[in-house]
Amino acid sequence: MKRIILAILILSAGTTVFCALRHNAGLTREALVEQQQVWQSATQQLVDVRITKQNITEHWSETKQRLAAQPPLPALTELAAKVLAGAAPEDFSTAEREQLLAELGFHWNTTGDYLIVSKKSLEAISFRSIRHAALTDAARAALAITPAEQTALEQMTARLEIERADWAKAHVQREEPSGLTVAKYTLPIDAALGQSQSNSFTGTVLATLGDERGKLFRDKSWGWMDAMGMLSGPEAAYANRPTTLEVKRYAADRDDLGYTLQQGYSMMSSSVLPWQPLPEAFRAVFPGGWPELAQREGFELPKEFKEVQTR
Amino acid sequence: MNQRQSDFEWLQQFARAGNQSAFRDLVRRHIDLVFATALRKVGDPGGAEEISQNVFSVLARKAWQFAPDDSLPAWLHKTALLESQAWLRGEMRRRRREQTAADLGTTMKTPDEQPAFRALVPLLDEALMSLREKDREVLLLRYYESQSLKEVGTALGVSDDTAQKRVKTALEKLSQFFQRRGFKSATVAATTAVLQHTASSATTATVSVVFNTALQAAPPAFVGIGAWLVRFASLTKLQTAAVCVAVSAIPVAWQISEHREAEAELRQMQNQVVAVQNEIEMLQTETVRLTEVTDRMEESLARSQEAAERVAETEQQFAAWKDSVRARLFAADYTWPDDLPFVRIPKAVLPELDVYQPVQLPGTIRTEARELLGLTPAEREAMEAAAQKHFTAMDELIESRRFGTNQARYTWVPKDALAMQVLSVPPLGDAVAERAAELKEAWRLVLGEERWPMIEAQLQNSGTHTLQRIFNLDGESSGQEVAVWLRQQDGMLTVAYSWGREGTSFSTSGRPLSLFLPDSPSEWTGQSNEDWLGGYNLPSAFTRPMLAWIQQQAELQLKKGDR
Repeated sequence: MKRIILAILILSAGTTVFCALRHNAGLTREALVEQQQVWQSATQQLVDVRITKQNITEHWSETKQRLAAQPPLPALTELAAKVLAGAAPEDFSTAEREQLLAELGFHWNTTGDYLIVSKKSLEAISFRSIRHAALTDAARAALAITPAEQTALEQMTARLEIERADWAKAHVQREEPSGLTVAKYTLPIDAALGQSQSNSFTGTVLATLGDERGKLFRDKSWGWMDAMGMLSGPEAAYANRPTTLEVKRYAADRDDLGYTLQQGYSMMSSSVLPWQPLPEAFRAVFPGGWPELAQREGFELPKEFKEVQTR
Repeated sequence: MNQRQSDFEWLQQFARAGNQSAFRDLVRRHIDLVFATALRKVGDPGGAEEISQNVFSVLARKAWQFAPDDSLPAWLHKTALLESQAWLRGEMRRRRREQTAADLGTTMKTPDEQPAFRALVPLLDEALMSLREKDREVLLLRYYESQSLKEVGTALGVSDDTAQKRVKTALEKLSQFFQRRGFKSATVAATTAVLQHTASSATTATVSVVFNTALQAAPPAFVGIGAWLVRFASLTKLQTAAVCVAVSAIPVAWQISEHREAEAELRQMQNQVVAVQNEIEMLQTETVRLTEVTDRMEESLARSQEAAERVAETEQQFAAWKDSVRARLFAADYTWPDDLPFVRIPKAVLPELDVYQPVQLPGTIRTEARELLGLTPAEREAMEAAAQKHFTAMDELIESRRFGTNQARYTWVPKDALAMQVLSVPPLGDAVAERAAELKEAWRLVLGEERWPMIEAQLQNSGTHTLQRIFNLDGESSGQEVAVWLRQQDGMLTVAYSWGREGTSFSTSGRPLSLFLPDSPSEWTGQSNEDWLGGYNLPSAFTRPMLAWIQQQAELQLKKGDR
């Protein structure tokens, strides 16, 4: 009996342990099944995510290639936008003007009988606008002055030159030659006349040509106005000093001459030569130029004048 | 083989093979023990015989249950007691019905001649049952089966002496039991006497009856699972335990293995899940990042495409604008274009146009000169390279030939000058001609026959601002000099300079000397000291020492004045 009880006890214990283990194993198996389901679900999700990533990677790669294939925007766009926005001529920098010229294809070999220049450069380009009361070809061509405008301007300049000549003849001061000096003349300051003529000139020019061309024309007429005494006076940029012309021999034993023109603080010296015209300021007094002055003062002009006269 | 082993062997032969002979031997060996016990309990030989029959019938039925280590005498004694009690209960019920209870008392009486142990007899079986099985077995074999000490030793598988000691020990324990129950006179000897006097022997007829009765109660021989159970029942406790443990261990081990395997699979699966989830997370992160990057790229692409469309539109409009500009600038009825940055000039009037100092140090062609010449970028680059080369060469030439003097020959210096410096250079000869030829050739090559005359005139004309003077081309045959002087003018010290060569000179207006002090602003009437000195593009071989002299004079004259 004891053996049976012992056997039952041992077998019961074994059965209990077996059942417990079996139960645990069952739980573990259940957990395993759950994990397998989770794993299957996760694996499916992984496949989906991989497909998604593959798709997005392809899309990314394609977009990158498309982006890389985009041509760079031309630098001209900014300038073109500025032009199309209606920027004023003075709003363009030097570099922009040159770029525009290149864009337009303007250079010496492409423009035929004409040359295209910027208005800004035209301001710095010097040319005589008036010669003997008449507009020069350069002024008429560069500023596109019409015949009617030309007539109006030339009538005005002729009137002012006559006024100035009359005044110069009446007020020029002569000094007696001495030493190497063969002639010396001085035109005094007449601020009232200069101001009056300057006002008249500027008013007519601006009224005729408009603001832009009028200012350009006036700037190109600076030499003529200076010679006419319009730039002297208390309000002028130059000092209120008379204009003096002095003609001297370089040496007593030489026949070549030089002259010095003193205007304000500026002084210019050069040789007296046929191709070096008499300073404009004194042309009203000596319309015949160097020969008339030499005749008036009784000195010999350099030999170059005779050679020119002979030719 | 001892008695216990032979008892087990006989029981096995009887239970497995139905060996009656073996069972008969068992009955013969133990009938006295059973009979004596029953007789002592019931006091009736007929009842004792009936009880003996019952005991051996039970043995016959349960023979298969015995194990080698079981004590058959002990089991028979115990069973005999249980059967005796059952018999007595039945007998008492019968006699009560027959109202013969009084007779029963006489039946149980002990003979008068044995008064010393008479009182112990009723407690004898209780005392025997209180002993441990091996002690009880020793006494049962020695006294109820009338075995000698040698036989007892053989039955138990021990020596005679050991058997004697066990008998003695058992008797002492039995004696002590009686003494604990108040029988102070229950010595070992008295106890031995009780045992000896309560032993009885069954007759041969009783043996035969008991044997036959038991055989009738015996089950048939075991086969199949019965045989297996008999075999199992024949195992010792240790063997039984070992078999049961072994039987239990197999499924347990299997389940442990199953459990471990499942756990291992679970862990592996969990790791795989974690790995997959990590990969998912990583891929999702990467996908999000790529999506964001792609979105930004698409936005950029969209902006780029929009910009490209705008550019295309702008270019189209710009192209139209250019066509319009070209048409207007080359129209037969051309008029001044108020809204354009360009104007046209007939090439025929270009000789009347002039650019003040068209080339500047160190060789830059002025913008207006570039436009008047209609230069392309390549033409400009070539001309400026040639100009720079010429300026560098001329500067080195003048530097090498320059000398200081106190007499101005070609320049006009005012008589009231307070201090002056004259730097003179003699005619530079063929070196200038070579440089000039090189420059002219380079420019001519760039400009071509149509434009070259415009420049050639400037290169040939003498004057203060012509290219001939700027490039120093007339330095070949004529000496030149610069004079710089100080003069008191309008209440302040001024500085001016003059350049001249034979037949031509120019001079500047005065400039306050204080502008050349180290800490003073160099701007005056919108012109810096450097612009004032470089305004006529004199070679740096002249302007460098001039500036040094002026700065020295500023320090000297103005600091002296302060002092």
